[in-house]
Amino acid sequence: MKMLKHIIIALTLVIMSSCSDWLDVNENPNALTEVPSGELLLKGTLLANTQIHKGHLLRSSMYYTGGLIGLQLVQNTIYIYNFTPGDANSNWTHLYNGILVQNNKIKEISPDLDALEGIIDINAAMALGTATTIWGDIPYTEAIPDNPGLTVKPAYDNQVDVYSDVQDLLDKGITTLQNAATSLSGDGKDADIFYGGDLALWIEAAHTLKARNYLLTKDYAAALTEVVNGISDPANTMAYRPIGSVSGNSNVIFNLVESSRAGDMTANGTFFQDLLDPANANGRNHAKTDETARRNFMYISGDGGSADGIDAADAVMPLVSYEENLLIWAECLVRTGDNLGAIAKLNELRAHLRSGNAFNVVNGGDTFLYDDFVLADFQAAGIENVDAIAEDRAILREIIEERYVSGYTSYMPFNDMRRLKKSDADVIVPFPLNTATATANVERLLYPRSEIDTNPNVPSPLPDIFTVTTVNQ
Amino acid sequence: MKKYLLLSAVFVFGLIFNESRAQNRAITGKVTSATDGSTMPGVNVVLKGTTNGTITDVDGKYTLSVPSEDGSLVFSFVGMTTEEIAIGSRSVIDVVLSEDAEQLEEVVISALGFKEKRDNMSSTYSKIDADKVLQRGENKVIDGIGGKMSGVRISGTTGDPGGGANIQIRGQSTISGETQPLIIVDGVPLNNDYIRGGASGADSDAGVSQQSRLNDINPDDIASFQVFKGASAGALYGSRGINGVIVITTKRGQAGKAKVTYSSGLTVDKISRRHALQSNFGQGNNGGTWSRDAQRSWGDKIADRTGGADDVDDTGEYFVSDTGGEILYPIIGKNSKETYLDSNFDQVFRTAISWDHKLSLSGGNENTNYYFSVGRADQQGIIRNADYEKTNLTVALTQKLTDRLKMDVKSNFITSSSNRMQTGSNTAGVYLGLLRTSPDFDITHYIGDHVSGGGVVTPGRQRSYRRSRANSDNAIYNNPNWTLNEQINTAEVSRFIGSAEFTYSINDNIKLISRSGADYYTDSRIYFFPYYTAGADRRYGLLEDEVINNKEYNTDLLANFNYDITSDISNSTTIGYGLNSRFRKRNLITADNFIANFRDPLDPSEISAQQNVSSSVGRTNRRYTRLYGTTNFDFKEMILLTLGGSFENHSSLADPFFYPSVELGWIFNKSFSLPEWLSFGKARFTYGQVGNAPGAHAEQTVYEVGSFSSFSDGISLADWGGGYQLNENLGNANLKPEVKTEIEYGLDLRFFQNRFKISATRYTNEIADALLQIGLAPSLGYDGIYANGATIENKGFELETGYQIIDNDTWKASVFANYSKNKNMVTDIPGGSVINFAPGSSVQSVAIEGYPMGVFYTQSFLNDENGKHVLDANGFPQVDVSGNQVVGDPNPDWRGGLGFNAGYKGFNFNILFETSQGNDYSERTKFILQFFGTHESVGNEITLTEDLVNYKGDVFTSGTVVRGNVHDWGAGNVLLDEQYYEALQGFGDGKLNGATVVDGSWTRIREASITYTLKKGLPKTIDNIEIGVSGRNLAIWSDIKGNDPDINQFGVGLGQGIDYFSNPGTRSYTFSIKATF
Repeated sequence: MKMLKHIIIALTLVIMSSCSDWLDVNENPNALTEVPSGELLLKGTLLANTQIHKGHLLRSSMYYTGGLIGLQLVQNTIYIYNFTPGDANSNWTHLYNGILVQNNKIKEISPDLDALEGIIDINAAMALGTATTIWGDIPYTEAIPDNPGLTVKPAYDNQVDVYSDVQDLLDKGITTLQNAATSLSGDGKDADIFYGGDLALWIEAAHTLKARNYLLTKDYAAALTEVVNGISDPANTMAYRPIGSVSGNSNVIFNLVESSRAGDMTANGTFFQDLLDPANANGRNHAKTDETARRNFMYISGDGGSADGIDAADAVMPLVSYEENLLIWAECLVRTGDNLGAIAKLNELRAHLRSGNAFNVVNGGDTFLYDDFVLADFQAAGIENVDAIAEDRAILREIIEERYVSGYTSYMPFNDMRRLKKSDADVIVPFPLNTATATANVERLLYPRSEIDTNPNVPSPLPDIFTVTTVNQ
Repeated sequence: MKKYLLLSAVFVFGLIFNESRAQNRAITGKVTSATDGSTMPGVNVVLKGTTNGTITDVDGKYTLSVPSEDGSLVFSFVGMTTEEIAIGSRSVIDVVLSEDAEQLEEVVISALGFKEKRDNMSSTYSKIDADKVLQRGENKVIDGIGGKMSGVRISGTTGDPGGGANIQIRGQSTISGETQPLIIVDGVPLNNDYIRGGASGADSDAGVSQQSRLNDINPDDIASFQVFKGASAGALYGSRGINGVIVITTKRGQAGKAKVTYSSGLTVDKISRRHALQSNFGQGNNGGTWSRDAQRSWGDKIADRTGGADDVDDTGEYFVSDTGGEILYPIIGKNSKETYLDSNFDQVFRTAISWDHKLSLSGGNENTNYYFSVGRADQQGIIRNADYEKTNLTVALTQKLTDRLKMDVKSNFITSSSNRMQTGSNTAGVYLGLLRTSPDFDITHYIGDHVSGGGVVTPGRQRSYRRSRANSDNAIYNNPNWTLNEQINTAEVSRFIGSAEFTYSINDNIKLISRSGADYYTDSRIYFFPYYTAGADRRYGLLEDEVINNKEYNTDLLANFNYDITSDISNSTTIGYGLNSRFRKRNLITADNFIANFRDPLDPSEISAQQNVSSSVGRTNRRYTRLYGTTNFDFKEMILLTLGGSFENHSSLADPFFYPSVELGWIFNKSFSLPEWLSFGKARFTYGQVGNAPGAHAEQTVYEVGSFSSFSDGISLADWGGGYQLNENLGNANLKPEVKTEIEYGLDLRFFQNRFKISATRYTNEIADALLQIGLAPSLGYDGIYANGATIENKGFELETGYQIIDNDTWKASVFANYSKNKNMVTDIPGGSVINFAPGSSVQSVAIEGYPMGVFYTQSFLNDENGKHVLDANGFPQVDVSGNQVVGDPNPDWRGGLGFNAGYKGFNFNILFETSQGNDYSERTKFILQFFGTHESVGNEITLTEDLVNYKGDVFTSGTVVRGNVHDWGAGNVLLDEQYYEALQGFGDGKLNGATVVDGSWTRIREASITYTLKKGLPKTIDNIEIGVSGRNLAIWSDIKGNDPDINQFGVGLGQGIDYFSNPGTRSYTFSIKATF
C-alpha cells in the first residue's frame, strides 16, 4: 500500500506541475480575440448604421407612407399591417452590437481617440436618434453594460430623455472634433466610408442631426440654430456610397430586389409615384415643376435588374443630406414667421435639383423643371395654393411635400407623418391607408422579439404599431 | 487465449490461497479439460465451506491437505463448469472439467479495459459476441448491432453505401454537444466523427450523407463489443461519457500454429421501399390540361390522349442530346400515352453488387503472439454511380519482453473512398428531381446542346422536366441523371490508428500499465456542381474542395493493485492518469461562377476568377487530463462494491470537475439457500455522473469580419475591404460540463442451470447544466451566449432475456429478447427558447421545454379549445398561422428485439426481429408529392356517390368522375382535389405541415442467416469451411410505405424522423464463404 501512496503523490505532482500550460489551448485559433487598433472597427459601425437607416425597417416605414407596396410573402405581411416583433430583430442588434458595443471597444482599445471618438459618437447618436424615433423608449443609460450576462436586464429610458442624451452626445462629438489635435490615420480615413476622415463634414452632419432631433421634438427654434452650421453643400451629404458590384458592397435596396425576394414588393402604383406623375391631376407637377425625371429615378420596380435609378447597385444612399438640412431650415423659418426666408431655402433646394446633380436621369428623354418659387405662388390661387389656405400653411405644405419626395428611401416621410398628424394635419402628405379595414396610420414599429423574450423591462403593456410615441402625443 | 486466461488465473488465485496450514492428510490429483483432454493449470481447488484450497500447477496437478474424510472438494475455473466431488476415503481425485458456454460469455471488459467476470460487475452492460456483431460478409459495424441490445437505438439514417448511422443510448442527453457515444478500442478512444456534407456543414438538411468513422474499422478484427449504458461505468471517462461508452476489444494472436482465415462475401442490395407514384395524369398545373415545363403533374388524363407522336415545333429552337445525338423539338401538343415511371426509376436505381474480402493470420508462441488482417470492401450504392470502397490493414503484436514486462502494439491503416449522391432538400438532389418529374417526361436526354431559334448553340445545357427545351441556364430542379452523372461528391479518407500498451508486473499484486494511442485521419472531399446545375448558387458552377484533418492522441498510465484485506474481502484498485488531445482542421476552398463550362473539379483558382474563389479555415483544439480511479471490494463474492471517480481538467472548462460513481451488487443466492432452479440472483444499484465538455474556443468573444443584413439585403465588411466587428455572441469563460447524474437499479436472475436468464434495469437520469445557445437581451450589446442552462431527463426500463432451449452435440437452439422504454423530457430551457435541430425544414425537430427532445414543431391545423379542427364554410381545415405547434414525437414509446438461433450439426440458423413502437414520423416527401400531383395517392379518379364540394367551394354532383380523394374532416365528406392539395399542401409556412406527421412505428426482420460449417472430409490443410447466406432488412412492416422509417433527412444527430427526398434505405442479401486453415 505504500507503493500506492507514492504513486498517487507522484501522479498528483505531475498533474499540478505540467498540466495547466498543456491545457491552455482554448484561445480561439480561427478568429481574433483582440484587434490592434480601434480604427479597424470603425467601418463595421458605419455599415451597421447604414443597415439601420436603409434596411428592413426603413422599407417597412415606406410601406406605411405610400412609398412601397408589399406584394407577397413577408413584404405583403408587413404591408397589410402585420409587422411582427421578429422583423425588428436585426436592426435592433445593429444598434446595440453593431454600433454601441463596437464604440465601447474602440474606446477601450484606443485610449487616445481624439478625432475617432468624435466620429463614433456622432455615428452612435445618429443611430440612437433614429432608434428612439422608431421605437419610443429604448435602453440607453443601462444598455451595453460592462458586465453583460444572463441576469443583467437593461432598463428602458424615456424617449424624451433619449433625445436629450442624443443631443448631448452630438454636442460632445462636435466639441471633440473641433478640438481634435489629429485626424484619423490613413487606414482610419479609408475606414470612414462616409466622409473619408474629413472632420469638418462630420461636424456639419452633427449639426444637421441635432436639427433633425429638435425638429422631431418640435423645438423649431432650437433646430434653426443648428441648421446654419449643418450640411452646407450637396457634396457634403453623409451617405452610404456603394463601391462595387457584389451584393456585399452594393445598394441595400438593390440587394433585396436582386435576391430570391425579387418580385415581393414594388413601388409601382404607389401614392409616391402618383404624386410625381405629370399625368396625375392630383400630382405635384405644375408650371414650375416637372418631376418626370426624378420620378423615374426614384422608381423601384422590385423585380431586380435595375441598372440605374435609386435602386441601382451603385446608387448612393443619403443618411444625412444637404436636402434635409435645407428643408429643416425652411420649415423652421416658416414656423418662426419668415415666409420669404423659407421660400429662399426651398429655392436653394430647387436650384440643386435644377442643376442635374441631385439625381440621375434614367431615361435619356426624361424632363425635369424646378423653377424658383415666389411668394405669390403660395398666396391664394397661387400654383401652390389653389385651395386658398393661409400663405404660411401653403409654404409649409410644400416644404413637407418636398420633404416627402426628397426624403424618399429615408425615414423622413414616416417621421413627418407621425410628427405632424396632431399639430399640422392640414399640411401632411395625404397618402392612403393600405387596407380597407385600416383606420389609422402606423405610429411606431414594434420592439424586437429578441428583446421581448429576454428583457422583462420592455414596456408593458407592449405597444402595438398604432401606439403613439411620447413626443408625438 | 485459454493459456493466457490460465496464467492470469494463476496470479489471481495464487494471491488468495498463498498460505497453507498444517493438515491431516493430502489429496492429489490432476485436472483435465473435457474439450481436448489437455491438463489445466490454475484450477481453483477448495475444500467446500473453508478457505482451505490450492490451485493446480502447470501440469494440472494439485496437492491439498484436508482434515478428515468428510467434506468435498470444489474445482472451479473461469469459463468451465464447477465440479463438486465428495472426498470420502479417496486420496487421488482426478477431475475432468467441461466448458461452461454460459460462463465463458460472462467475461466482460471493464471500462478501463480489464477482463472481469460479469457476475462481479454491478452496472449494466450489453455485450455482443464477436461473431454476432456482423453477419458474415458484411462490412458496416454500426448497423450490425441494431436490435441486439436493450436501450441502444441504432438508426441507419441513409441507404447510401457506407453512410452513417445514429447510435443513441438511453435517450438524448445533450442539446448542443456531441450526440454519439464514446468509443473505446483496446482502451484508447476511437474517433467516431460524422461530419455532414456540403462542405460548410451548414446545410444539414441537404448535401451528401457521410459516414460514421466507427465504420472504418474492420469488423473482422473485433473480439468483443460491449455497450456501457449507465453513467456509473462511464464516469471514468468523465466529460466524454454522457452518451454512453462502447468498448471494443480487438483480436490478438493466439499461441500455437499459424491460423489463417479467409472470408468472402457477395452482397446484393436493393431499394427497400419506393415512394408510390401515379402515371395516370400528365404534366400541368391546372387540372385537365397538359402544360409543358409545368411544376406539377395535375395535367391531362394520359389515357384520353390520342396516342402516337407528340406535336412538335420544328421551326425554331431545338435540343441535341449528348446521350444519343437525338434532336428533340419543343413539344406543343402531347399525344403520346407513353409514361416513364419505371424507365426513369431504372435509370436512377440498380441492384447493387458489393464484394467483401477479409484475410487474417494469427499465431505465436508463449512469448510472442501476432495477428495480421487485411480487409477489402467494394460496395455499389443502389443509386447508380454511388460507390464506396475501403481497405483495412491491421497488425497486432504481443510480446513478453521479460517475465514481468509485456508489450502489446497494434496498428491499423485504413483507406476509403466514396462517391455519394446529393440528397434531401436540394434542387441538385437525386430523389427530389426524380420524384417530382412528371410521369410523362423521359429523363433520358438530360444533357446536350440547346440551339436557339436564331441558331445560337449553348452546349452542355441541362434538360429537366421543367426545362424540356433546355432553353434556360436555370434547370430549376435537377434531372436525376444530371445528379448521378455530372456532379461529383467524393470523400477520400486515409486513417491511421496505432496503440501501444506496456504492462509491467511489479509483483503478483501490482501491475503498471502504460497505454497510448494515436488516431489520425484525413478526409478529403470534393463537391462539384458543373455549369447549369439547378440552384442559384450552382447555376454557373460550384466547387467546394475540403480537407478535414483530425488528430487524436491519448495516453494513460495505470496502476492496478490486487490485495486481500481480510480473508473474506478482496480488493482491486486501479489508479490512472490520462492525457488526451484532439485537433481538427478543416480547409475549405470554394469556387463559383466558373470562367467557362468546365466539367472537372480542377484547382479552384484555375476555374474561377479570383473574386469568385474564397477559402476558410476552421480549427478546433481540445485537450484534457484525467486522474481517475476505481476500487472494488468483493466480500465473499457476495457483496460487491465499486467506487469510481474521475477528476478531470479540460481545456474548454473553467474549472476541473469530479465525476463520481458507486456500484453495489449483492449476489443473494450466496446469502440464502434458494431453490435449485434459481441458479443465480443478483440485485444491483448504481449511481454515477458523466459529462459532456463544452465546445472548444467558446471562452472569448471574438472579432469577425462582420456582415450586416436585415432581410436578404446584407452588406459586409469582407466586400468593403475588410474590417472587424466584435461578435454578437458573448464568450463565456465560466463554462461547466453538462452533467448527467444517473441512478440505476436492477436484477439479474438465471434459472435452470443458467439456461434461462433475465436481466432487468430501471434508470433515471437528469442532465443538468445542458449547454446551449441562450438568447441575451440584445440591448446588452450581445444577442446570445453559449452557456449552461437547460435540463433534460430520461427515465427508462430495460429488459434482456435469453433461453437456451437445447444444447447438445447435435442440436442447439436458443432464443433471446430485449425490450427498452425510455421517456425523455426537456424539463427546462432558459428563456423558453426553442432549439431547432432541423434547420431549413418546414417541420422542425426541436428541443422545447415540457416536451421530449426532438418533437416535431410546425404550423398545423387551426383547432378549437377542445382540440377539434376549426373548419371553414366548405368543411375544410384551416392552418393556424399564428405560430408553430408541437405535432408529434419521433421518440419511440418502446423498442424491442427478438432473436432465435438454431443449430443442427453443421447448420446454423439465425433470425432477428426488431420493433420500434409509438415513434412519429414526418412524411414530408409524400406531402409535397401530393402537392406536385406525382404521388400515387392523388393519381386516381373516383366516381362520386354524393354531391361534394372542393376546397374552393365548387360543387361536384353525384356521378361526376373526378381526380382526387374523399375525406371527412368532421363536417361530412368533402372532395380533396387539386384545389386542396395546392392550397394546404406545399412548401413553407401557411400549409398543413402538421398533417405530414404520422405513426412511424415499424417492425422488421433486421437480419437472418443460414450457415453451414463443413469440418470433415476437407483437405488436411483446411480446418473448416463455412458457407452462408444472410439478409438484412428482409421485411419491414410499417405504415410508412415510401421509405424505410429509419431514414432521416438530418442524418446522425438530434433532428430525427423526417423524410424529405432522403436517399432510400436498402434491403440486402449476402452470400458468404469463410475458410479456416
